[in-house]
Amino acid sequence: MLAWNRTMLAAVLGAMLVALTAERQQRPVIAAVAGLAALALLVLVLRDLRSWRHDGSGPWTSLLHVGIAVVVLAALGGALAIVGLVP
Amino acid sequence: MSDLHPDRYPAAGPERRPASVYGVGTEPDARFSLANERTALAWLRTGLALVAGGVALTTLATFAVAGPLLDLVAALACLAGGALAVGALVGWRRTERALRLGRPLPAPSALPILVVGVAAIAAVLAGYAVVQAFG
Repeated sequence: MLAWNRTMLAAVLGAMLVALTAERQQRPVIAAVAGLAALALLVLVLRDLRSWRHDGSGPWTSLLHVGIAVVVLAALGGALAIVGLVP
Repeated sequence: MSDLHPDRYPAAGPERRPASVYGVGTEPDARFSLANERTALAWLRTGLALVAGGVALTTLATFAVAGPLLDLVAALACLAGGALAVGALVGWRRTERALRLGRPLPAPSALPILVVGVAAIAAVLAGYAVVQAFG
């Protein structure tokens, strides 16, 4: 469970980093999506972690949620970089 | 009759997903499943670290001399981070199936790619720093 704590902390901090960087670069849409992604991840994974250990349904759903969150953050980071490339 | 296995894990049923993993083989030692889960989480955190590094580079690119180069490296780092996240899920699934079926574990195919990728990014940034310092 400690590994899940570290992962969730890293994911939320990563989302905050993307949001603050986007805000600093005056990209409010990217910042807003990153913030919403962090909130959605927290709600979904914390809800799943409660039920999964009790009914033995396995970690797949939570892993999928975190994986999707990382892919979304990667897309947002890539968008920040590509927008910077465009003159 | 109870569906519980001796190690107290419920039998595979519709509520355990994905069915492609939990619908085959037999329940492995819980320690191996938990180790596989921790490995997947470690890969996800590695992907997050790459994304975070890429995002930080975009900030540097806004005021650096060779901004487009840094933006390109940042985009590649973010792409690599996303790819690692996908690889983490695929790797978890493959390893869990191998554990349940008693087959040899799949090789960590993402590891050499990660090493080469990180080394390449480091080399580009080191070259950039040297050019900025002495150029």
